[in-house]
Amino acid sequence: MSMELRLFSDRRLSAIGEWQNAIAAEAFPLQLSDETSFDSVNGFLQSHLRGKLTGFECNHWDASEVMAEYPGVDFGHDWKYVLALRWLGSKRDEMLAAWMAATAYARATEGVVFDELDGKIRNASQALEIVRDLESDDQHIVDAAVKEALRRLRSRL
Amino acid sequence: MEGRVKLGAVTLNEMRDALGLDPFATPAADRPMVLTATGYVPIEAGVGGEGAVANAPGANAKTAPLVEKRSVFKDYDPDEPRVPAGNPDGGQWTSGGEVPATLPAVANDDPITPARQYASTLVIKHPGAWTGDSRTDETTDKLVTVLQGVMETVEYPPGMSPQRYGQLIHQAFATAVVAEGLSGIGADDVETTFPEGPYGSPGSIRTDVVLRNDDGKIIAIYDVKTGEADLTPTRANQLRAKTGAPSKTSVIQIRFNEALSKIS
Repeated sequence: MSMELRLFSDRRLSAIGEWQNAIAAEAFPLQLSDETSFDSVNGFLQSHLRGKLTGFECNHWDASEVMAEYPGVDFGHDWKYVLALRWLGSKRDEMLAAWMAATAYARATEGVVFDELDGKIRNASQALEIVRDLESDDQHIVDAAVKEALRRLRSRL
Repeated sequence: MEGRVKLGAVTLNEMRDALGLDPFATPAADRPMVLTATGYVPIEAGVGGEGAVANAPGANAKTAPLVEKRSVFKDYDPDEPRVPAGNPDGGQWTSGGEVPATLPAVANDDPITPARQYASTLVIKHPGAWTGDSRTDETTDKLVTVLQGVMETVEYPPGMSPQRYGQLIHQAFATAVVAEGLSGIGADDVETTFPEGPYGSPGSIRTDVVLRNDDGKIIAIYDVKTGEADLTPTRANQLRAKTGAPSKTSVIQIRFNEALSKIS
Protein backbone atom coordinates (compact mmCIF):
# COMPACT_ATOMS: atom_id res chain seq x y z
CA MET A 1 0.00 0.00 0.00
CA SER A 2 1.13 3.54 -0.47
CA MET A 3 3.83 5.37 1.45
CA GLU A 4 4.94 8.87 0.67
CA LEU A 5 7.51 11.55 1.33
CA ARG A 6 7.74 15.16 0.30
CA LEU A 7 10.88 16.80 -0.98
CA PHE A 8 10.99 20.54 -0.33
CA SER A 9 13.51 22.89 -1.90
CA ASP A 10 13.98 26.48 -2.95
CA ARG A 11 15.46 25.59 -6.28
CA ARG A 12 14.70 22.83 -8.72
CA LEU A 13 17.04 20.61 -10.57
CA SER A 14 16.77 21.24 -14.28
CA ALA A 15 16.82 17.73 -15.64
CA ILE A 16 16.76 14.06 -14.78
CA GLY A 17 20.43 14.02 -15.75
CA GLU A 18 21.23 16.53 -13.04
CA TRP A 19 19.32 14.41 -10.53
CA GLN A 20 21.25 11.37 -11.72
CA ASN A 21 24.53 13.21 -11.18
CA ALA A 22 23.46 13.94 -7.63
CA ILE A 23 22.65 10.24 -7.12
CA ALA A 24 26.04 9.28 -8.50
CA ALA A 25 27.73 11.73 -6.13
CA GLU A 26 26.15 9.80 -3.26
CA ALA A 27 27.45 6.56 -4.81
CA PHE A 28 23.95 5.10 -4.78
CA PRO A 29 23.44 2.12 -7.13
CA LEU A 30 20.37 3.77 -8.62
CA GLN A 31 19.81 4.74 -12.23
CA LEU A 32 16.85 6.95 -13.09
CA SER A 33 15.23 6.65 -16.47
CA ASP A 34 15.59 9.79 -18.57
CA GLU A 35 12.77 8.74 -20.87
CA THR A 36 10.62 11.51 -19.43
CA SER A 37 11.77 15.08 -18.95
CA PHE A 38 12.02 16.24 -15.37
CA ASP A 39 9.44 18.98 -15.82
CA SER A 40 6.85 16.59 -17.20
CA VAL A 41 7.26 13.81 -14.66
CA ASN A 42 3.77 12.94 -13.50
CA GLY A 43 3.50 9.41 -12.22
CA PHE A 44 5.81 6.45 -12.16
CA LEU A 45 9.45 7.33 -12.67
CA GLN A 46 11.24 4.23 -13.77
CA SER A 47 14.61 3.43 -12.29
CA HIS A 48 16.95 0.52 -11.82
CA LEU A 49 18.36 -0.38 -8.45
CA ARG A 50 21.45 -2.52 -8.81
CA GLY A 51 20.26 -3.27 -12.31
CA LYS A 52 16.78 -4.37 -11.23
CA LEU A 53 13.71 -2.51 -12.46
CA THR A 54 11.98 -0.51 -9.77
CA GLY A 55 10.87 3.08 -9.27
CA PHE A 56 8.43 5.37 -7.55
CA GLU A 57 5.72 7.81 -8.45
CA CYS A 58 6.88 11.40 -8.69
CA ASN A 59 4.79 14.52 -8.99
CA HIS A 60 5.47 18.24 -8.96
CA TRP A 61 2.99 19.77 -6.58
CA ASP A 62 2.32 23.22 -5.24
CA ALA A 63 4.55 23.69 -2.20
CA SER A 64 2.25 26.08 -0.34
CA GLU A 65 -0.70 23.73 -0.76
CA VAL A 66 1.30 20.75 0.46
CA MET A 67 2.60 22.59 3.51
CA ALA A 68 -0.98 23.62 4.31
CA GLU A 69 -1.89 19.94 4.51
CA TYR A 70 0.26 19.64 7.62
CA PRO A 71 -0.79 22.47 9.93
CA GLY A 72 1.06 20.95 12.87
CA VAL A 73 4.42 20.76 11.12
CA ASP A 74 6.99 23.54 11.25
CA PHE A 75 8.68 23.51 7.86
CA GLY A 76 11.08 26.30 8.82
CA HIS A 77 10.09 28.60 6.03
CA ASP A 78 7.88 28.67 2.97
CA TRP A 79 9.61 26.43 0.50
CA LYS A 80 9.23 27.23 -3.18
CA TYR A 81 9.07 23.75 -4.63
CA VAL A 82 7.97 20.30 -3.63
CA LEU A 83 8.28 16.90 -5.18
CA ALA A 84 5.92 14.19 -3.97
CA LEU A 85 7.42 10.72 -4.04
CA ARG A 86 5.09 7.77 -3.55
CA TRP A 87 5.82 4.08 -3.54
CA LEU A 88 4.15 0.82 -2.71
CA GLY A 89 4.96 0.15 0.90
CA SER A 90 5.16 -3.56 0.26
CA LYS A 91 8.01 -3.14 -2.22
CA ARG A 92 11.30 -2.66 -0.49
CA ASP A 93 13.21 -1.71 -3.63
CA GLU A 94 10.76 1.10 -4.37
CA MET A 95 11.13 2.40 -0.86
CA LEU A 96 14.90 2.32 -1.07
CA ALA A 97 14.93 3.92 -4.52
CA ALA A 98 12.68 6.74 -3.32
CA TRP A 99 14.81 7.45 -0.27
CA MET A 100 18.04 7.35 -2.31
CA ALA A 101 16.61 9.70 -4.92
CA ALA A 102 15.24 12.02 -2.24
CA THR A 103 18.52 12.12 -0.34
CA ALA A 104 20.47 13.01 -3.46
CA TYR A 105 17.94 15.63 -4.52
CA ALA A 106 17.93 17.21 -1.07
CA ARG A 107 21.72 17.38 -1.05
CA ALA A 108 21.87 18.93 -4.51
CA THR A 109 19.24 21.56 -3.78
CA GLU A 110 19.88 22.07 -0.07
CA GLY A 111 16.34 20.96 0.46
CA VAL A 112 14.72 18.76 3.06
CA VAL A 113 12.85 15.47 3.13
CA PHE A 114 9.54 15.23 4.94
CA ASP A 115 8.56 11.69 5.81
CA GLU A 116 4.82 11.24 6.18
CA LEU A 117 5.32 8.15 8.31
CA ASP A 118 6.96 9.81 11.28
CA GLY A 119 6.26 13.44 10.44
CA LYS A 120 9.93 14.36 10.65
CA ILE A 121 11.88 16.73 8.46
CA ARG A 122 15.37 15.60 7.54
CA ASN A 123 18.23 17.21 5.73
CA ALA A 124 20.25 15.15 3.28
CA SER A 125 22.65 13.80 5.88
CA GLN A 126 19.79 12.69 8.10
CA ALA A 127 17.97 11.15 5.15
CA LEU A 128 21.12 9.22 4.33
CA GLU A 129 20.81 7.50 7.71
CA ILE A 130 17.41 6.20 6.64
CA VAL A 131 18.91 4.92 3.39
CA ARG A 132 21.59 3.05 5.31
CA ASP A 133 18.96 1.54 7.57
CA LEU A 134 16.84 0.45 4.63
CA GLU A 135 19.85 -1.17 3.01
CA SER A 136 20.26 -3.55 5.93
CA ASP A 137 19.66 -7.09 4.87
CA ASP A 138 16.73 -8.01 7.06
CA GLN A 139 14.06 -8.68 4.47
CA HIS A 140 13.88 -12.24 5.77
CA ILE A 141 12.59 -10.85 9.08
CA VAL A 142 9.83 -8.96 7.28
CA ASP A 143 8.94 -11.97 5.15
CA ALA A 144 8.79 -14.24 8.18
CA ALA A 145 6.66 -11.73 10.06
CA VAL A 146 4.23 -11.46 7.15
CA LYS A 147 3.99 -15.23 6.83
CA GLU A 148 3.30 -15.68 10.50
CA ALA A 149 0.78 -12.85 10.53
CA LEU A 150 -1.17 -14.51 7.74
CA ARG A 151 -1.17 -17.80 9.56
CA ARG A 152 -2.62 -16.15 12.63
CA LEU A 153 -5.09 -14.11 10.67
CA ARG A 154 -6.52 -17.20 9.03
CA SER A 155 -7.37 -18.59 12.40
CA ARG A 156 -9.04 -15.39 13.51
CA LEU A 157 -10.97 -13.99 10.57
CA MET B 1 0.08 12.07 15.44
CA GLU B 2 -1.38 9.31 17.60
CA GLY B 3 -0.32 6.80 14.97
CA ARG B 4 3.23 8.08 15.19
CA VAL B 5 3.23 7.62 18.93
CA LYS B 6 2.16 4.02 18.40
CA LEU B 7 4.97 3.48 15.91
CA GLY B 8 7.52 4.93 18.31
CA ALA B 9 8.29 7.75 15.89
CA VAL B 10 7.49 10.38 18.50
CA THR B 11 7.06 10.27 22.25
CA LEU B 12 3.84 10.86 24.11
CA ASN B 13 5.13 14.16 25.44
CA GLU B 14 6.23 15.26 21.96
CA MET B 15 2.67 14.67 20.84
CA ARG B 16 1.31 16.60 23.82
CA ASP B 17 3.69 19.45 23.07
CA ALA B 18 2.47 19.57 19.49
CA LEU B 19 -1.08 19.73 20.80
CA GLY B 20 -0.20 22.52 23.19
CA LEU B 21 -0.73 20.33 26.25
CA ASP B 22 1.42 20.10 29.34
CA PRO B 23 3.79 17.13 29.42
CA PHE B 24 3.21 14.11 31.60
CA ALA B 25 5.66 13.92 34.50
CA THR B 26 6.32 10.23 34.06
CA PRO B 27 9.69 9.44 32.44
CA ALA B 28 7.97 6.91 30.21
CA ALA B 29 6.19 9.73 28.41
CA ASP B 30 9.55 11.01 27.15
CA ARG B 31 10.63 7.71 25.69
CA PRO B 32 9.64 6.31 22.28
CA MET B 33 7.16 3.50 22.75
CA VAL B 34 5.65 1.05 20.34
CA LEU B 35 2.07 -0.04 20.81
CA THR B 36 1.83 -3.80 20.88
CA ALA B 37 -1.18 -5.91 21.71
CA THR B 38 0.11 -6.00 25.28
CA GLY B 39 0.43 -2.29 25.61
CA TYR B 40 3.24 0.21 25.02
CA VAL B 41 6.75 -1.22 24.88
CA PRO B 42 9.92 0.91 24.96
CA ILE B 43 11.35 1.05 21.46
CA GLU B 44 14.82 0.34 22.70
CA ALA B 45 13.68 -2.94 24.20
CA GLY B 46 14.97 -5.00 21.32
CA VAL B 47 18.24 -3.12 21.12
CA GLY B 48 19.06 -3.81 24.69
CA GLY B 49 18.69 -7.54 24.50
CA GLU B 50 16.36 -9.95 26.12
CA GLY B 51 16.28 -8.37 29.53
CA ALA B 52 15.85 -4.86 28.31
CA VAL B 53 12.08 -4.66 28.44
CA ALA B 54 11.71 -6.32 31.77
CA ASN B 55 14.29 -3.99 33.26
CA ALA B 56 13.20 -0.82 31.57
CA PRO B 57 11.37 1.80 33.56
CA GLY B 58 7.79 1.86 32.54
CA ALA B 59 7.72 -1.68 31.26
CA ASN B 60 4.79 -3.68 32.43
CA ALA B 61 4.91 -7.31 33.37
CA LYS B 62 2.99 -8.32 30.27
CA THR B 63 5.91 -7.43 28.04
CA ALA B 64 8.39 -9.80 29.62
CA PRO B 65 7.21 -13.05 28.02
CA LEU B 66 7.29 -11.41 24.62
CA VAL B 67 10.97 -10.67 24.95
CA GLU B 68 11.81 -13.98 26.50
CA LYS B 69 10.40 -15.76 23.50
CA ARG B 70 12.25 -13.43 21.12
CA SER B 71 9.10 -13.52 19.10
CA VAL B 72 7.99 -10.73 16.83
CA PHE B 73 4.39 -11.75 17.42
CA LYS B 74 2.05 -11.50 20.33
CA ASP B 75 -0.40 -14.18 21.27
CA TYR B 76 -3.84 -12.69 21.65
CA ASP B 77 -5.00 -12.78 25.23
CA PRO B 78 -8.74 -12.07 25.42
CA ASP B 79 -8.58 -11.91 29.20
CA GLU B 80 -6.18 -9.01 29.31
CA PRO B 81 -7.85 -5.89 30.70
CA ARG B 82 -8.86 -3.26 28.21
CA VAL B 83 -10.59 0.07 28.27
CA PRO B 84 -14.33 -0.60 28.04
CA ALA B 85 -16.26 -0.11 24.86
CA GLY B 86 -17.92 3.27 24.69
CA ASN B 87 -14.88 4.99 26.13
CA PRO B 88 -13.08 7.10 23.52
CA ASP B 89 -10.13 4.76 23.98
CA GLY B 90 -12.35 1.73 24.12
CA GLY B 91 -10.69 -1.53 23.23
CA GLN B 92 -7.16 -0.35 23.83
CA TRP B 93 -5.18 -2.35 26.24
CA THR B 94 -4.89 -0.97 29.67
CA SER B 95 -1.48 -1.19 31.21
CA GLY B 96 0.01 -0.87 34.60
CA GLY B 97 3.26 0.70 35.70
CA GLU B 98 4.29 4.10 34.45
CA VAL B 99 3.02 3.76 30.93
CA PRO B 100 -0.08 5.89 30.40
CA ALA B 101 -3.00 3.62 29.69
CA THR B 102 -4.74 5.94 27.32
CA LEU B 103 -3.80 8.66 24.93
CA PRO B 104 -5.33 12.11 24.85
CA ALA B 105 -7.88 12.77 22.20
CA VAL B 106 -6.49 14.24 19.02
CA ALA B 107 -8.27 17.18 17.53
CA ASN B 108 -10.08 16.33 14.36
CA ASP B 109 -12.34 18.50 12.29
CA ASP B 110 -14.49 15.60 11.23
CA PRO B 111 -17.06 13.99 13.50
CA ILE B 112 -15.95 10.51 14.37
CA THR B 113 -17.90 7.50 15.38
CA PRO B 114 -16.39 4.62 17.30
CA ALA B 115 -18.18 1.98 15.31
CA ARG B 116 -16.41 -1.30 15.62
CA GLN B 117 -13.88 -3.03 17.73
CA TYR B 118 -11.86 -5.99 16.75
CA ALA B 119 -9.82 -7.51 19.53
CA SER B 120 -7.58 -4.78 20.93
CA THR B 121 -7.69 -2.16 18.20
CA LEU B 122 -10.06 0.74 18.17
CA VAL B 123 -11.16 1.71 14.73
CA ILE B 124 -12.74 5.04 14.07
CA LYS B 125 -14.90 5.26 11.02
CA HIS B 126 -15.87 8.54 9.55
CA PRO B 127 -19.55 8.66 8.70
CA GLY B 128 -18.62 9.99 5.29
CA ALA B 129 -16.85 6.75 4.47
CA TRP B 130 -20.13 5.02 3.83
CA THR B 131 -21.37 5.22 0.28
CA GLY B 132 -24.80 3.70 0.60
CA ASP B 133 -23.82 1.02 -1.85
CA SER B 134 -24.02 -2.21 0.07
CA ARG B 135 -21.29 -3.99 -1.85
CA THR B 136 -18.85 -1.15 -1.39
CA ASP B 137 -19.71 -0.63 2.25
CA GLU B 138 -19.46 -4.32 3.08
CA THR B 139 -16.09 -4.47 1.35
CA THR B 140 -14.91 -1.41 3.25
CA ASP B 141 -15.94 -3.11 6.45
CA LYS B 142 -14.05 -6.27 5.53
CA LEU B 143 -10.92 -4.41 4.52
CA VAL B 144 -10.89 -2.57 7.82
CA THR B 145 -11.34 -5.87 9.64
CA VAL B 146 -8.36 -7.31 7.76
CA LEU B 147 -6.34 -4.21 8.57
CA GLN B 148 -7.22 -4.47 12.21
CA GLY B 149 -6.20 -8.09 12.22
CA VAL B 150 -2.87 -7.23 10.62
CA MET B 151 -2.20 -4.45 13.10
CA GLU B 152 -2.86 -6.79 15.99
CA THR B 153 -1.07 -9.80 14.62
CA VAL B 154 2.16 -8.25 13.46
CA GLU B 155 4.34 -7.41 16.41
CA TYR B 156 7.11 -4.84 16.35
CA PRO B 157 10.38 -6.63 15.57
CA PRO B 158 12.97 -5.50 18.12
CA GLY B 159 15.25 -2.75 16.89
CA MET B 160 13.45 -2.21 13.61
CA SER B 161 13.12 1.39 12.42
CA PRO B 162 9.67 2.94 11.92
CA GLN B 163 10.30 3.00 8.17
CA ARG B 164 10.99 -0.73 8.00
CA TYR B 165 8.09 -1.48 10.33
CA GLY B 166 5.86 0.54 8.03
CA GLN B 167 7.02 -1.58 5.13
CA LEU B 168 6.27 -4.71 7.12
CA ILE B 169 2.72 -3.62 7.89
CA HIS B 170 2.06 -2.58 4.31
CA GLN B 171 3.39 -5.85 2.95
CA ALA B 172 1.37 -7.86 5.45
CA PHE B 173 -1.82 -6.00 4.62
CA ALA B 174 -1.39 -6.33 0.85
CA THR B 175 -0.73 -10.05 1.20
CA ALA B 176 -3.63 -10.49 3.59
CA VAL B 177 -6.09 -8.74 1.28
CA VAL B 178 -5.13 -11.00 -1.60
CA ALA B 179 -5.30 -14.07 0.61
CA GLU B 180 -8.72 -13.08 1.90
CA GLY B 181 -10.20 -13.44 -1.57
CA LEU B 182 -12.83 -10.76 -1.11
CA SER B 183 -15.62 -10.67 -3.65
CA GLY B 184 -14.88 -8.11 -6.32
CA ILE B 185 -11.19 -7.89 -5.44
CA GLY B 186 -9.02 -10.22 -7.43
CA ALA B 187 -5.32 -10.75 -6.92
CA ASP B 188 -4.73 -8.29 -9.75
CA ASP B 189 -6.78 -5.65 -8.00
CA VAL B 190 -4.24 -5.14 -5.23
CA GLU B 191 -1.39 -2.75 -6.02
CA THR B 192 -2.39 -2.45 -9.65
CA THR B 193 -0.70 -0.36 -12.32
CA PHE B 194 -2.94 2.11 -14.20
CA PRO B 195 -3.37 2.74 -17.04
CA GLU B 196 -3.27 -1.03 -17.19
CA GLY B 197 0.08 -2.19 -18.37
CA PRO B 198 3.29 -3.78 -17.15
CA TYR B 199 4.92 -2.81 -13.90
CA GLY B 200 7.03 0.27 -14.27
CA SER B 201 5.16 1.90 -17.13
CA PRO B 202 6.35 5.52 -17.21
CA GLY B 203 3.75 7.95 -15.92
CA SER B 204 1.57 5.23 -14.47
CA ILE B 205 0.09 5.25 -10.99
CA ARG B 206 -0.61 2.35 -8.70
CA THR B 207 -3.81 1.91 -6.79
CA ASP B 208 -3.78 0.13 -3.47
CA VAL B 209 -7.06 -1.76 -3.89
CA VAL B 210 -9.84 -1.49 -6.42
CA LEU B 211 -13.29 -3.03 -6.06
CA ARG B 212 -15.12 -4.19 -9.18
CA ASN B 213 -18.73 -5.05 -9.86
CA ASP B 214 -19.85 -8.21 -11.60
CA ASP B 215 -19.13 -6.62 -14.97
CA GLY B 216 -15.56 -5.89 -14.00
CA LYS B 217 -16.11 -2.16 -13.74
CA ILE B 218 -14.34 -0.33 -10.93
CA ILE B 219 -16.88 0.84 -8.35
CA ALA B 220 -14.51 1.91 -5.55
CA ILE B 221 -10.85 2.76 -5.15
CA TYR B 222 -9.15 2.31 -1.79
CA ASP B 223 -6.11 4.31 -0.82
CA VAL B 224 -4.26 3.07 2.24
CA LYS B 225 -2.06 5.62 3.94
CA THR B 226 0.29 5.73 6.86
CA GLY B 227 0.71 9.44 7.30
CA GLU B 228 -1.56 12.13 8.62
CA ALA B 229 -2.34 14.14 5.53
CA ASP B 230 -5.63 13.38 3.88
CA LEU B 231 -5.92 12.12 0.39
CA THR B 232 -6.47 15.29 -1.60
CA PRO B 233 -9.27 15.78 -4.11
CA THR B 234 -6.55 16.26 -6.71
CA ARG B 235 -5.09 12.87 -5.98
CA ALA B 236 -8.55 11.29 -5.84
CA ASN B 237 -9.32 12.69 -9.28
CA GLN B 238 -5.96 11.48 -10.57
CA LEU B 239 -6.82 7.98 -9.35
CA ARG B 240 -10.17 8.07 -11.12
CA ALA B 241 -8.68 9.44 -14.32
CA LYS B 242 -5.77 7.01 -14.53
CA THR B 243 -7.96 4.00 -13.74
CA GLY B 244 -10.63 5.09 -16.20
CA ALA B 245 -13.23 4.93 -13.45
CA PRO B 246 -16.29 7.20 -13.66
CA SER B 247 -15.89 10.62 -12.06
CA LYS B 248 -18.36 9.71 -9.31
CA THR B 249 -16.45 6.61 -8.24
CA SER B 250 -15.85 6.52 -4.51
CA VAL B 251 -12.25 6.91 -3.43
CA ILE B 252 -11.99 5.68 0.12
CA GLN B 253 -9.04 6.34 2.34
CA ILE B 254 -8.02 3.87 5.00
CA ARG B 255 -5.36 4.95 7.44
CA PHE B 256 -3.13 2.73 9.43
CA ASN B 257 -3.52 5.09 12.33
CA GLU B 258 -7.04 3.86 12.74
CA ALA B 259 -9.07 6.35 10.86
CA LEU B 260 -11.12 5.83 7.79
CA SER B 261 -12.60 8.52 5.68
CA LYS B 262 -13.99 9.15 2.27
CA ILE B 263 -12.81 11.80 -0.11
CA SER B 264 -15.63 12.76 -2.41
